[in-house]
Amino acid sequence: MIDITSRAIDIAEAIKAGKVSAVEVTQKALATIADLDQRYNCFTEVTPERALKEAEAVDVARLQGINLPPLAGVPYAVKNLFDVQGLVTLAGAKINASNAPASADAHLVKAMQKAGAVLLGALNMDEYAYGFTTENHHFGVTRNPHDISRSAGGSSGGSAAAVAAGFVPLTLGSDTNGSVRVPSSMCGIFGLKPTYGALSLEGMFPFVHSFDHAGMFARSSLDLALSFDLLQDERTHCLEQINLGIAGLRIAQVGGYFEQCDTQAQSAMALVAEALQATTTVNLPEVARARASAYVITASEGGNRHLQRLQTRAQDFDPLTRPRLAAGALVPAAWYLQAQRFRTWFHQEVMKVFEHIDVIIAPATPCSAQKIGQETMTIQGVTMPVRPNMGMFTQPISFVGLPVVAVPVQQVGGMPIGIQIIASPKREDLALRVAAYLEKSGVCAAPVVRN
Amino acid sequence: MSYSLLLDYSDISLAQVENAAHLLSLHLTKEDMLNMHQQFKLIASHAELVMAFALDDAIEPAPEYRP
Repeated sequence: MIDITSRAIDIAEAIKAGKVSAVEVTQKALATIADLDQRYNCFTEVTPERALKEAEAVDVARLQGINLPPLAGVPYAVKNLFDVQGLVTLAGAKINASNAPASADAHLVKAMQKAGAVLLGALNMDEYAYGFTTENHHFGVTRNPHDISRSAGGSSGGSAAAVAAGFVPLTLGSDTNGSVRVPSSMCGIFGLKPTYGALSLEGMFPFVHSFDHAGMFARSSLDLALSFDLLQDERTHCLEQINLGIAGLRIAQVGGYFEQCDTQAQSAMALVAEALQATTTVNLPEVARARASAYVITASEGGNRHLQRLQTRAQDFDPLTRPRLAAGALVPAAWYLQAQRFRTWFHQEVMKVFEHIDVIIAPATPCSAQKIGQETMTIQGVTMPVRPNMGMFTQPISFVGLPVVAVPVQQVGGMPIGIQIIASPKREDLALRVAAYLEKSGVCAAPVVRN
Repeated sequence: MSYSLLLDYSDISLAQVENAAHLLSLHLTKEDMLNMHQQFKLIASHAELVMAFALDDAIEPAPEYRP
């Protein structure tokens, strides 16, 4: 039985086979969002007219015997920093609400349309993507479908929660310091942050030029592979290789810095490591400094990007974002340049590890989703602020642009948590193979949850 | 040749941050200025770690880095 909680790949297959129409799937998805999204606040705008028009076009094409594209009729939605023709690109900001609507779709939205997917709307996020909790004072907090008292993670919180709640099988988001991987971990779904530069950022509201990546969320590694191949204009063939298994792959755990997590994250790591027979532990050098450098670069580039708005409309910023961006604008050039030089050094050192290892695994977050509004968390006896530190394990990886699949480990009666499957640049295929193996073996799963 | 810059940024005062903000024509409320001061000290604690690392002069920054 196919419905909107099925995988994208299965929905597309069912529509192709005439078992269900694209319009039926779209109407069902729109009705579900209308019924349930007030509970989670994933969407900032739903686009029923466009969705039904795109779905009708798919059904007409099928009736005419035209060969349907791979995502024909599959509903999806995008973080509201993607340009969608006719919508204002909010990027989570009240300031942007007075901008003119986008005159064209973002490159990746065009690519999804070309692949036959049906756009259902735009999704909530932290203001200007600067946060890990999607506690947005302008558009409301996005709540975690596993427990609505908890954060969905951020900054692509709407994108992750919409997939976890089964509103759509696929969403697009962005990841600068962890904004795909953190909400994937919090919401218990699969997320792909590809290699830096692998996906076009054209038509996406920028945050930090040095680290901005586009990425995607799904409840299956197959859907990630399919959509990544399509968004790459089929320059990659991840889907073809996804069932090759892990035989021959050299997989290691990352130790040291990445061991600063709570017992749940440690258990999830042990479970995944055992399933992958990853008995070797490697250490990346100077990870804390890599994270610190990412922090400085993010603050500086983010602050500079928004300086003019801070000078003229400071009070219109989200109170969580305003002091962070303003402080970033003050960063001395010496700090920024040293951090960028360290980035070169760290990249060289990390590449040495990949001479001997194909895939490394690390926790995505130090703990599972925390309560909305919670200011601090305590990890191994150390109390730290929640908002900046949920990305402590993701920041050092995006710092050097490595491809990562975040895979979900569910916990009976508890919150899910994610593990990062990290490969060398342009080897998304390996990370996706490992994710698919874990999914097939039952270690990782992303069921629809609507608590 | 290597070098390291060992500085202690933990004593950054509110007045220093206010002066830097004024240089950039940032005019915030007192509460925002206090919050910005806290955020700047947090950035500075990271910067301290970054600046303390000895990097070879041959290593260039990577603003357009593509792996």
